Amino acid sequence: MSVRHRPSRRVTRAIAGAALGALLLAGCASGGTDEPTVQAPDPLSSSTSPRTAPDAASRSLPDVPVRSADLSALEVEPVVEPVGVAVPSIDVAIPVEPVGVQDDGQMEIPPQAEIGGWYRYGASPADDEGTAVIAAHVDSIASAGLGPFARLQDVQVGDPVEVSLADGTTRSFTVTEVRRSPKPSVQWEDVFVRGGGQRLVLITCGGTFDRGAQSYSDNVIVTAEPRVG
Amino acid sequence: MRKRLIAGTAAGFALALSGAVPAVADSHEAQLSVLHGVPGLTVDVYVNGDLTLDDFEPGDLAGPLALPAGTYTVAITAADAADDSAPAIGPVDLPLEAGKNYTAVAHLDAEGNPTAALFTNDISNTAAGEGRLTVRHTAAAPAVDILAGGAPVLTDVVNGQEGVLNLPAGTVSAAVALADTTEPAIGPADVTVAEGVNTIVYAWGSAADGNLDLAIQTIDGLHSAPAGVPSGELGLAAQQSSTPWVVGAALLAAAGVAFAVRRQTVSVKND
Repeated sequence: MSVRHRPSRRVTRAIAGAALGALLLAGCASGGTDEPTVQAPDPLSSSTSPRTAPDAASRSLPDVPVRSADLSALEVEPVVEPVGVAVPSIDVAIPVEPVGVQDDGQMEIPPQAEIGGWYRYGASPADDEGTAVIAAHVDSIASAGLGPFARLQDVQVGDPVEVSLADGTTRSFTVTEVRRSPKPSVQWEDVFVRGGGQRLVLITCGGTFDRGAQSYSDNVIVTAEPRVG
Repeated sequence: MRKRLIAGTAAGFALALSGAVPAVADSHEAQLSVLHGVPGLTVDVYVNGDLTLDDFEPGDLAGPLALPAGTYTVAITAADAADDSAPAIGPVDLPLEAGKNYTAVAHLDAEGNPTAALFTNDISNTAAGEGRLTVRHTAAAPAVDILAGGAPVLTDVVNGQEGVLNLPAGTVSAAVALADTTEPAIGPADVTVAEGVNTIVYAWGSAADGNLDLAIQTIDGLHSAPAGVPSGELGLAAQQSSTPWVVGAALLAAAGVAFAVRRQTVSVKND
């Protein structure tokens, strides 16, 4: 099981007013993932509260999140990884492995075209937010031929996509967009999005093939969103 | 008596009036965190004369706070002080520039006297697949070497100095040794350097008192997207109709190369 470091910025632990002391203690003691999450009711509310002279009885303290900086307190959150993806309408059902980045800065793709690569630095399809990216070769040397994702360009908006997870559960998505874009025109920062709404993006290659560069001209990019209902 | 701080080197300590602070950062704001690295001293922190952090404990990290750019005056007192008239550290002025990210650290100087430093955190984007490791010497100790995986990566770091490395995301076995010695004074400890995150490690405490320790701060959201998705190798799915011999040649080539190509393993652990 892999864990993803869950940076402290995502923990909105605002501590207000007289509760500061008590929560400081709680924050120091927890040192783990179950520390209290206290949302400030309104970030602006404290600005309207009366500023009083530092008087032990009535002074009003601002909202300051405090946590232990001990190494053991660094929050890590288990990531439930995807292990398979299926698009029944095009008869695709492939296993998925976590992948990273190649030396040239491009996404690593499993050599076998029958295996999808999930970009492990981004969101998982199990996460409530962010875009999970799964890519597979349209054809590959290791597979000596076409792979299942060669049919990705035939997907229709509205088709279901099922992602199976390492914990045995499944996440269901619905295709919302199918596009083929010339590689230089793809804004990858708009695809590999860490936050925001939950999305699943399936990617392969398409277009024409440049034998000199051993590269296709386009990427086929299928976007899906969580199925409603 | 006031000192003006030079970011990254000298004295300082902060925390501000978050009552006047919007929750969302914008281009007119600075981000400020505060680390308490003075062993055995619970303190109160006053900003511009107002009590801002009550009973702040050693080893704790406060923030980050989004503050309007400007200069903040900070005084640190004993925890039972009635006001900031007799600070243990400061008062000092912290000049915070818009768009920058700072950590003010109350710590011991090399001789063991309480002081403070304002560091500017590197929040430039990291390359896809990489994280950033920042190491800061804020301990009452002479010059140190920083070891990663047993090998020195930063040498002769003195109190108040820092070193910054970008490296593939993963886990680093980090240790601190007094300069010209090989035996770790701190660690080794496994530090996760997550992708797209600046992981800041502070050496704090006192070598003489035997309480040297590490403190960790992380700043996330620095990631970059991969440069592309190279997801095809043969041209069999190309739009243009290929002549049969071309496809045949591609397949023959594939069959031959398939045995020669081995997947390069990635040694970096998932994070």
